Amino acid sequence: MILVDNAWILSVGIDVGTSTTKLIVSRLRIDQVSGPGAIPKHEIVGRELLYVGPLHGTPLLSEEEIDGSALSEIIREEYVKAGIRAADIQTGAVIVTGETATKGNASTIVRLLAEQAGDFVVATAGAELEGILAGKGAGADGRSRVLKGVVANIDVGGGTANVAFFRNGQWIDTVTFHVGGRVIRMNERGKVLKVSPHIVPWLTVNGFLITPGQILKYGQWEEICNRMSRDMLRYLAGQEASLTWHQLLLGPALANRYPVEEWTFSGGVGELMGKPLPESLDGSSAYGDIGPILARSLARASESLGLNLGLPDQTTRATVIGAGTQSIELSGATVFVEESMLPIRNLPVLKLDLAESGSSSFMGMKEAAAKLIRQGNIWYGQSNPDEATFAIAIGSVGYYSYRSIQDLAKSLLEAYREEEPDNHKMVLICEQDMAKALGQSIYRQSGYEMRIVCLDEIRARQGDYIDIGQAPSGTWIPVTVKTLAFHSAAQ
Amino acid sequence: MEDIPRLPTAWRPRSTEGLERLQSSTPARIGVWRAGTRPTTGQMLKFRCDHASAVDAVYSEVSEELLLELGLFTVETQYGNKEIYLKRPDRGRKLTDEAIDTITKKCKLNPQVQIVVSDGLSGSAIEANLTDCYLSLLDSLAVHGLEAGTPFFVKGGRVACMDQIGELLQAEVLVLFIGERPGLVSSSSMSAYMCYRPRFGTVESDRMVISNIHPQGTFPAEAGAYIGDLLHTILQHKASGVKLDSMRK
Repeated sequence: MILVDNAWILSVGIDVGTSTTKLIVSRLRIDQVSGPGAIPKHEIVGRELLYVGPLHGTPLLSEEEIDGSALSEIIREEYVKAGIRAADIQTGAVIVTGETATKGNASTIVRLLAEQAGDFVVATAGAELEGILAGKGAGADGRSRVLKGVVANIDVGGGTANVAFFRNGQWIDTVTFHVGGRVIRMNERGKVLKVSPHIVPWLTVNGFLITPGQILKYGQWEEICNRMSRDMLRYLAGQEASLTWHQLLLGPALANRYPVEEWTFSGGVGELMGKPLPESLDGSSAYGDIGPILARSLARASESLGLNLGLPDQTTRATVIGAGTQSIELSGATVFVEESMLPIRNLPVLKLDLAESGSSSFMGMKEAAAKLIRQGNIWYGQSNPDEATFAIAIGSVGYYSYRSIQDLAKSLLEAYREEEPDNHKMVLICEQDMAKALGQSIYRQSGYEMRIVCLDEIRARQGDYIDIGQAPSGTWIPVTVKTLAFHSAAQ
Repeated sequence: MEDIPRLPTAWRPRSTEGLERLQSSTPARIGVWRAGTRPTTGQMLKFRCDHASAVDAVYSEVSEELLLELGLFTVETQYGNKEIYLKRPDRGRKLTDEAIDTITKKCKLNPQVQIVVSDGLSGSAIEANLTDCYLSLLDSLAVHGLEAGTPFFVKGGRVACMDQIGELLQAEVLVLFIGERPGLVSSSSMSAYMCYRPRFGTVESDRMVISNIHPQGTFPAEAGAYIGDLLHTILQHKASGVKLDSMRK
């Protein structure tokens, strides 16, 4: 491996979770990894934690609202302690996770925090992304590369359990459950203090009719946690699931079932699983919730299901470390970029699937592109007619010739001209190394009128959002692909 | 010849997925198993087939049609014939008197960018990859506002024939598309050598190269676009190769 220009960039991660808020600062090393005679390729080759902040309770104004100014104060203090300024931060992510993501002002707050944290810090949310970042922070992606099999990480925090499956270092599926330490709060006498509304349907169908003020014995608490753990884990392990597991589900179920070689547990509850805990109400009340009892139930259920448990790299801070160190990727180096259009934030992605029926012909491609642009205008509107309101992602097409690139360029250009005659800005994200050839072809065919940002070696899906940063050294461009943020809260 | 499956059916590796991943990381012949102490018949045939196409590639010619299509006229070096060409690399660096004559007559002098094509050690590499790479390069030059001189084809050329052409035409920058020495992985891989003001006595460290241009390596269309960028950078800095690298740091 040849390492030519190497650079360090400073990255921050902030996780505003159901019960705790965490911040880390790390630095990422970027290097050219291509050999001599090849088109240059840059990768993130090293990640180093520089500062790990303490756990802060997530400040809430009410059950429905996050306390933005208190959060902002936490970040300000942490930056002082870490000895950094927002201006030094070149990348990173603020993620709002678990139940906190469902609060009414979550999306506004997290965007404000991202701005406070640094110019290039992105705001993200979404249970799917949360699971992936936690899995990466816990090291499940790396383990799957070594083990030659599927590795699943279950990040159990306060409000949700986010599960991500990895194979060969890539995530392949995610699923989220309303399983977490804070779903029911209790005191040291076993008194029910608060029940999350998200867990009520599952409790009801299981016959656990509990209400605040009621006092439960240790055994009863254990029974609830055991059932919850079994319902989730039996489903994940592909064993005959109970009739009630889907009441725990948040969002879609798994697309497939996978033979899992190794399981890791991260998150606050995952952390407790590794600790010896006294089996009593007294010994389990340190956090005022079911976390410790749930941790023991999860460990027991894993054992009886014969799950092969591995040691995660990180537990409590898996998500925040994932957010700080794993949320950016680099575009291929041969791209076609109108630099004045950068940075780009929060651009929704539409996927042009060229492999689909008949779209290998010019007319087929043009029709497919035009349809996509019409759809984009319905979904994302066009407040300013001369502005790219969405990016088009182009999937892998295998080998392409000069001719086929010309056809693709022409079909995209003509589709844009028909659907958005006043728009001269285009953002394209190619999966394959083709951005320079495609970008220059469109630019030329447009009579040098189109302003184009065309990147490659980035995989984005329909419904993702992307952030495209500026290239600090002109040779690589940082990109963050975010899965749909704030499904419920934003709409 | 049809592709031999990379994994022989007789072999049951502990992890098929793991082996496939290793195999997909390299075109080299790994994990091909064996029959007793020898290669399997299929692998042996594949090896001989690949070797034969490598030998064929050395003797392959670039077709008239291709040169006509791209508007390239042909000149020769003093290589004589293929046998001499292989034994005497120095001959492939010198143009014939006739070639010097033709080039001086037909070509624009002092071009900003001079494009030259040569069969080198694989005519089939040029046949397979030149068109896409060349057309994409022309687009890239247009986008950068660079002007190309009169392109032509050199039969029996070696990389350093760039120097004599540079002397003759006084090109500011020269790019030479040339067929690479065929191997057992690919017999039609093309390289693009670039040099700022090539002349007699140019040192190798002033040349730069994009190699492995073929459908299993760097795709010709993307390579052509990138080469245009590189030529632009070379012209900006008035340097190429190691000199350019040190200036860009």
